[in-house]
Amino acid sequence: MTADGDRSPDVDVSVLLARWSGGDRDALDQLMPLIYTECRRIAARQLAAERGDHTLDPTALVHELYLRLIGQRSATWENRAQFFAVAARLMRRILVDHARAHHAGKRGGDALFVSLRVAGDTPTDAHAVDVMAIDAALERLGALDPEQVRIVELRYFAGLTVEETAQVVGRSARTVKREWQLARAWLYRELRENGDA
Amino acid sequence: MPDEGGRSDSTPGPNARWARVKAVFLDALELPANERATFVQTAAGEDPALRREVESLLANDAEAGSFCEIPAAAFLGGDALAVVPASPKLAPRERIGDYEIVQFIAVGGMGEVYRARHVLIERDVAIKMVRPDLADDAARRRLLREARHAALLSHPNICTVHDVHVANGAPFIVMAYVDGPPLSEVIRRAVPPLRDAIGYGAQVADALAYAHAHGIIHRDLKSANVVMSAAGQPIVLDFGLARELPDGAVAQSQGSTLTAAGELAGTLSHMAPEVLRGGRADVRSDIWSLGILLYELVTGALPFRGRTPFETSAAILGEPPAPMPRRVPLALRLLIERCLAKDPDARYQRADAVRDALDRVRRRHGALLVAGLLLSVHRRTIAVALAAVLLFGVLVAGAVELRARFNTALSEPVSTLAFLPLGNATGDPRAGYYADGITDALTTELGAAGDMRVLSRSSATRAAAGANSSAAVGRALGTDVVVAGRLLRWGKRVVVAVQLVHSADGRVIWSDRFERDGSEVLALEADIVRELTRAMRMTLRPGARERIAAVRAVSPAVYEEYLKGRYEWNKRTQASLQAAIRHYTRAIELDPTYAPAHAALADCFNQLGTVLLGGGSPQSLRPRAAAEAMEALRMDPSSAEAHAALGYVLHYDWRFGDSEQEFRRAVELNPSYSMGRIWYANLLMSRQRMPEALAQVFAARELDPFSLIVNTNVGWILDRAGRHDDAIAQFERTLALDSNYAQARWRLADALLHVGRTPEAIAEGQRAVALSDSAPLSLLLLASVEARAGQRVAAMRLLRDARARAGTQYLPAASVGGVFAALGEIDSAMVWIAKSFAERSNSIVYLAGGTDNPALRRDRRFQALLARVGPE
Repeated sequence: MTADGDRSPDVDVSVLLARWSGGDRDALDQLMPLIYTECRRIAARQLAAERGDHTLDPTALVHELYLRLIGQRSATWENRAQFFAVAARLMRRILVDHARAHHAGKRGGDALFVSLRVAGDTPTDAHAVDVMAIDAALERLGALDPEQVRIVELRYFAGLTVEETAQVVGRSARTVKREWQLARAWLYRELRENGDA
Repeated sequence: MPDEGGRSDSTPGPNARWARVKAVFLDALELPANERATFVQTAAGEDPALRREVESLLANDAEAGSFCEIPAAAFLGGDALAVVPASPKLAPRERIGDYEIVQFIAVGGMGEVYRARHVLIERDVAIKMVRPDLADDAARRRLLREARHAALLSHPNICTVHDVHVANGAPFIVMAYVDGPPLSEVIRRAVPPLRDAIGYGAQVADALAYAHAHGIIHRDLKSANVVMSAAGQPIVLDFGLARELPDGAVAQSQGSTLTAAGELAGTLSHMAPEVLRGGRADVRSDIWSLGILLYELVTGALPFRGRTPFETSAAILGEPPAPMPRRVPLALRLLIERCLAKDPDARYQRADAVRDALDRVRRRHGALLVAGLLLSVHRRTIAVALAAVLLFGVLVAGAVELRARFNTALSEPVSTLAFLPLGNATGDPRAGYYADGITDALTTELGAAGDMRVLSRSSATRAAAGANSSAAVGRALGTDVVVAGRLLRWGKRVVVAVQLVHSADGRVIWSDRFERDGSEVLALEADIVRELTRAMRMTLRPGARERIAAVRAVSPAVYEEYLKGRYEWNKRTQASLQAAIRHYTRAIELDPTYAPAHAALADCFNQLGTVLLGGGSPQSLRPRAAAEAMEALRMDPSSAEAHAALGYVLHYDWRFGDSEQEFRRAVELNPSYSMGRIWYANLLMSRQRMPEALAQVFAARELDPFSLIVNTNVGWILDRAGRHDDAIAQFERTLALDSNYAQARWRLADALLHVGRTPEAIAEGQRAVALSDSAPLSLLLLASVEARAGQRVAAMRLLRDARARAGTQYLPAASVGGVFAALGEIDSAMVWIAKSFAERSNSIVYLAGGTDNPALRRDRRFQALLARVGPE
């Protein structure tokens, strides 16, 4: 009975979060399957709701995830911040896994990218963005600036606003806004130079 | 100036270099775009690589546009996280059960929703599928429970659920198809005029109140879940998230199995703070959602707004609603704010309170608008218009009620029917009397409607108690069909859902739902009788059609008292009859013209005056019974009960001819009225017309095979007819139904004595005494048995015991006389019999036909006395 999958869903997420923030790296590995299961359930319901567009609202998902797993027990700003950081990382993992699976399933190795239509400020401003490429670029950014990676995860994968992100990372909104701007510029250049954007 | 990360590092390395790049980049961002190049050049100084790096990043920043600004998941499509494969879509024209798909509407919480049409009756419906991946047992159970509850909701502002079907193993719910835009869309286009907004709100509040009253909360009320019908009525959709309101115990022990406790359902913007925190949804969280809806209706906006759910939830949890514009009347603003109190205890606790408050606001607001003009000048016009509206409403309601759910052919005519007790679905066990009372009334009405035999309520109840299906009850009772149903009440509305089931194969022949205001419950009963008889293709008896058509309104309070009275009456104890009398008297005080209460009161007085109950002197009770029966007949000449009650009075008043006329009329009006036949049989027996008496009593037994009174009377008449062994067998059958029924025991004791089984007779008599708590009558009957068995001492002791109790309990004089006669003390016997005669005790009429105590029968005084019984 050591497999993570056998873990009871009653394991207190906030305890694991506290352990993780205290430097226990195993805690994150224990947290992931718990949160992942819950995440899929919420996502499935979100998709089933009358949205019609069949897309996820990641922010709503992460908030609901939080309320489900932590909200009832001990909602504090500290564990909220920790939780969002974990959830954002989790979302990144899920989305990249999905993109990878999708990619593998498409015409063998022909398709270099999983093309995602990005609706920009104007309808013509569309980009093809590769989640996998962003993920790889984030790995490189992490070597330079782990804090920026956290911010990108929160903003891009978990869909938090600048203000929310600021609360999670414990910095001012102004700082987060500018850090985000730099990270975005850096990533954009990375992808473009690699022919990804 | 940068507030962090701007310090240069003396040790070169990737991170130190990055820190430099970052510091210059961030500082540059602070400047207008046209000053940045100069700044970067200056800041980089001797490091051209640093300059190029920062410039490159600034250039990319300028180009990046919306890059990464929209979260990744939004473009991955839902399937990134979905574990659910998209369920196979039904194509237009595809068949599912009896329905043909017209078009796909949407994906709902449980699965897809389609517009479909019933292939036979061409009725448009909405079909809600259960998602295949959810179609496990738990989901199915939940769906069925949900639909079963929702199907009992019938309200003009609630989308009607018609049925639950299963096709190819997949359950689906069939509900009314409402064609119209969602209220959210209506509001988005244009905020409705205040009066309309209040009106819509009041209707939605009424729908909620109605659902709450029988245990269903919505859980996801929002403007997108309300559709504006073509008639301009808001129709609340999708009780798909609604669950039964858990009672305390269930919530505690099964909370996690019934539904994941604290599961977040509902839409964030309409979600109450306590639900957002993971608490359980209840009536008050629905009131919160109603408050949001009202706010939207009057302002066109949401009270708690945020750019993200995070901000929205923070506002819901901690901030007051955004102020409403001044044009919204203060009373309305306060009303909405009260719905939106963070603390559930501070809100309105009931949806009908919100509705009433809205109505008050509307009246006040309306009064301001019309400024008395219409009301004072055109009062008559308004009254006429109102009447027309009411009439139209009734017609529409009628049309809805008459719509049969389905109807399969009934090949052979129905000759016998059992009406099973209506299930009490009110959730309040104390309301059982209401369901019982309606059952009682429907049984009676059906019996009066046609030539079919309708089994009595008591037998149907008894047979239904142990059976596992309606059809099984029908088979046990030997009826062709059974009617089963459930009754619900909320507020002023009464709903009865009934179905007609074929006993042989359990096939549902017909089912329908009837709903009316509590004041129209008699009309509701008439509706059911009319539609049931139509479903059975039964010919109505002469007069029955008129009777059904002539139903009148009765105030719910009156009917309530009446039904409580019926409930007590059916228990047939002295205390319960006294209670019944109180209820009927109260009903009559409230509505002196309500005939059934008068007839029922007459029955109470009649029964209370019997020696069995000894509840009072027949001399004082009989005139009151007669008066009530006559009063009932004055208002309803077709009341079988009133005729029988009057026949009963006349019988013991020695007016045998008149009595028989009344009984005959009663049996004619309602051939299924078993008590009428029993009392008629008693008259025939006392007149020594034994074959006729037996015919009536046997007919009663067929109608009411499990009734203790009926079965005992069959035995009694058999015994009096000299068929002692048949009588003994009959009493034994009766006691098999209930071994504690004292009356059958002492009648059995008599019969045993008649065939010389003396010790057994004494033993039965003793059991009867024990069972009736040594009531004087039981002691006297045992004394008679002992005396006739030659046990003088025992008989005398019992007689003394009985007389000792006379201070507190009624001492039946005729029975005392019977003991003395059995002891051979004819003089003493005659004293008591004369006393009984003076009282005009019920027993007197039976003296003539008896065979016991030959010595007494030979006495001249006795014969003279008998000659005086009856005016003839």
